[in-house]
Amino acid sequence: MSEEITPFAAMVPVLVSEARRRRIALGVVFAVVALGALIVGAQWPKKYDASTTILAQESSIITPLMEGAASPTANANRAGIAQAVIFSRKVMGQILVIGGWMASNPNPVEQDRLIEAIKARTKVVISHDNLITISYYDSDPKRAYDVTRAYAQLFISESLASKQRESRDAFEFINGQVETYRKKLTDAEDKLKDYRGANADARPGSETDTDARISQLRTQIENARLDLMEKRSQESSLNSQLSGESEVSAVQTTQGIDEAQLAQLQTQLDTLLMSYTADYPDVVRVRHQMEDLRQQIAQAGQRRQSAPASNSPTSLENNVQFNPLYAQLRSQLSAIRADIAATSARMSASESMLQSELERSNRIANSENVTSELTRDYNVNRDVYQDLLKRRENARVSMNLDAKQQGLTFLIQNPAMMPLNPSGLRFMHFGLGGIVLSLAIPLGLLFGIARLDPRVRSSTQLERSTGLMVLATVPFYPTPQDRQRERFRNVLLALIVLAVALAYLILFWLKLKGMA
Amino acid sequence: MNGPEDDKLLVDSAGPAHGSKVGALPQRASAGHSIARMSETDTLPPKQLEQRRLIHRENSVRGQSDAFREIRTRLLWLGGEHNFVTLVVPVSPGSGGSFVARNLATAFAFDEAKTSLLIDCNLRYPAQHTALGVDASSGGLIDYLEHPASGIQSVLYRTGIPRLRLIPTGKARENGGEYFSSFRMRAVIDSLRCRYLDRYLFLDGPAIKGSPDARILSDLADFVVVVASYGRDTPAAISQAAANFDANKLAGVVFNHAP
Repeated sequence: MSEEITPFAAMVPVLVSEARRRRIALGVVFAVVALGALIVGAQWPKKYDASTTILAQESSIITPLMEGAASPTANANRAGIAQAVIFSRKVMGQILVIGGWMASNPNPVEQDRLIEAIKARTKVVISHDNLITISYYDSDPKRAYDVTRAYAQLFISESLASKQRESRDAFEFINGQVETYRKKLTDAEDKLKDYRGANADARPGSETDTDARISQLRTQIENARLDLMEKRSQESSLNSQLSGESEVSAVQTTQGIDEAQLAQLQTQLDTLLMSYTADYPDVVRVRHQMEDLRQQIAQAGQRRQSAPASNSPTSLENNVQFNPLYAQLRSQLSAIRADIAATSARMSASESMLQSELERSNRIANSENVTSELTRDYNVNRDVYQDLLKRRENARVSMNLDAKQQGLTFLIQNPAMMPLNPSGLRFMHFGLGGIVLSLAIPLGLLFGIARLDPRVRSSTQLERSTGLMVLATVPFYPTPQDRQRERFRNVLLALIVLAVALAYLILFWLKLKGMA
Repeated sequence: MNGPEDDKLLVDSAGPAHGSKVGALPQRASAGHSIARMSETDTLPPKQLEQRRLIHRENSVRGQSDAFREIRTRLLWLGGEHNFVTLVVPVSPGSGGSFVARNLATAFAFDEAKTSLLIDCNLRYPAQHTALGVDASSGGLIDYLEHPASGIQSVLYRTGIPRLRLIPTGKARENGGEYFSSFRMRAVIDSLRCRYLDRYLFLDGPAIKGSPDARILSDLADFVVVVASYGRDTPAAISQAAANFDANKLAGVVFNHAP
C-alpha cells in the first residue's frame, strides 16, 4: 500500500476479500498449525516435577551439650558444596542405577550422556545458606520420585560419611600424635633417669639441700670459732688466776685460830664494856682469855722462827693443806682446755665438711645444666602429651558423635512426593495454543499482506494514490467452472476445518479417557 | 458468416478515411450502412456466455454488466456523436485486459443501434479467439496486413454475440510494433471505423509493462482504457503505465477483480 497508514476500517473489506481469495491457503495454514500443535502436544514429553528440601542444621540439641568436648563438623559448608556432592560421579552412578537407566547396560559414553541429561533436569537451589532444595523432573512420575528421593538420601549419606571420615581422620591423627608424644615423653624420662642414675648429685632438691647444709655448717663453724675464742679467753683468765694462787694454802692453824678467837674475844669484850665496867668478872675473864691467846700466839711465833724454814707448806705437817681455790681453778682450767680441744676438733671437722659440701655444690651446678635441659624436654613433652590426651578424648567423642549420627544435622524438611500431575506444558495448553495460533497466524498473514503489500486492492486507493480516474470497478466474473471450483474450495475448506476440529475432539477425548 | 454486403467497400473507402478525423466524419455518415442489415443467426445462450466470461442481460451478472455499461456510458460521453476506437491495455499481463476489452465491446453491442468490433492486437499472447470460441482458421489481422488481397472479409469473425465481430491476431508474431506503426494498419483501422458509423472499434493491446506495442497502438486509438488488476499492480506501476499515453486520450482506469 502507499506510504500513508490505512485506517483499519478501510482494511476490513480488503481483509475480507483477501481472505476469500486465499481461503484455501489460509485453511491449509490453519490446519498445519493446528495439527502441528496437536502433534507436538501429543508428542511433548510429560514433565513430572519432584523436589525435596534438606535442612542443613547449623546446630542441633547436642551441640550445646557437647560444647567444648566435641567439635561438630561444619554443615554450612556442606550446603555450599551440595551441588558438587550431588553431581559427583559416585552419586550420579547410583542415580543411574536407581533410575533404571543401567538396565540397558549403556556404555560409558552413553552413561556420560545420560548423566549430563539428568544433571540438566536437576536443579539444586540453596536458600538461606542452609536450605537445600533439589528438584528433578522426568517424563516418568515414579522415576522422578525415586530419583529425587535418592538424591536426598545420597546427599545426606555422602555428607555424613564424609563427616565421619573427617572426624575419624582427625581422631586418628590425634591418636598418632599422642603415641608419638608418649614415646618422646618416655624417652625424656629415661634420659633423665639415666642421667640421675649416673650423677648422684643430680637429684631434684640436692642443690637446696647442699645450700642449707653449707649454711648450717658455716653457722656451726662460726659458733665453734666463737666458742673457741671464749674458751681461750677463759683459759687465759684461769691461767692468770691460777698463777696468783699458791698451790698450797699456808694456813697457820693455831695462830689463825687464835687470832680469830682473839678477834672474837675482842668483839665480846667491846660488847661487854659497853654494858659493864672493866671490873666486871666477865670482862676480866675475857681479858684473861685474850691474854692467854696473845701468849699462845707469841709462843707459836717463836716456834716458827726456831724451826727451819721450809719452802712448801706441805712441809708443814698437819698444819699444811692444799689451796681449794687453786684446785678448783686447776680443774676448771683443765676442763676448759678439754673443751677447747673438742671445739677445735669439731670446727675442723665442720670445715672439712663445708669443703666437701662446697665441692658437691660445684658439681651440682655443673650437672644442673644438663638436668634442666633434660627436664625442660620432659616438661614440654609432658604438657603436649597431656593436652593431646585431652584432645584425643574430644576427638573420640566427636567421632562417636558422627558415627552414631547423633550430630545428625541434615534434616529432610520436605520429603520427595510422587508427582501426580505433570507440570509444565500439557496437552491442553498445546491444544489451546494450537487453536489460538492456528487462527492468529493466518489472520496475521492476511493482515500482513493487506498492510504491507503495496499493490492496489481498492478503487478508492487507486484513485487516491495515482490521481487517475477510475472508470469502473469490475467485479470478478466467475464462469460456471469457477463457481464449481469455488464450491469445491468451500467444501475443501469446510472439510479441512472439520478435520481439524475432529482431530482436536478425538485427541481431547482420548486424553480425557487417559488413553493417550 | 458475414453477409456479402458487409464491409465490401472497405478498400474503396480506405483512401479518404485516413484524412483528418473531423473532415472524415460527415463523409462517413453518408457512406454508412444501417446496422439492421446485419443478420444474426447463432446467438449464444447465457450459459455459454458465462462460460466464456461474457456479460449478458440476465440478472446473474448484473454487477459486471453494470460496470461495463458505466464504462460505455463514460466513453460515449467522451466520444460524443461519433464512433471511436478504444484501446484497452492492461498494466501487466494477467490483469484481465482481454476480458475488459471483450466485455466492453459486448456492452457496446448490447445497444441495438451499435455494433462493435474487437481487434486482438496482442501479438504475443493472442487470447480473444479462444476466449470467444472462434475458429480463426482463415487468418487474422496479421494475415490481412501481410496479404491484403484476401480481403478484410475473411478475417472478420462472428462471435455468437449479436453485433460483435472479432478480428483475431492470426499468425503469432514477436514484433508487433512494425505492423502497428505501418500505414496499412492505420488505413485498416480507419476504414473499419468509417465503414459503419455505428461501429465501435476496440483494440485489445498487450500489457504496457514490457512491451512498446501498447504505446504504438495508442496512436491509432481515440481513447485508451488502462486495466489495473486487484492485488496485482502497484500505484507506481499504474501511474507509470498511464504516463505512457496522451493525457487527452486516457479515458481512465478500470479496476478489475481478476481471478
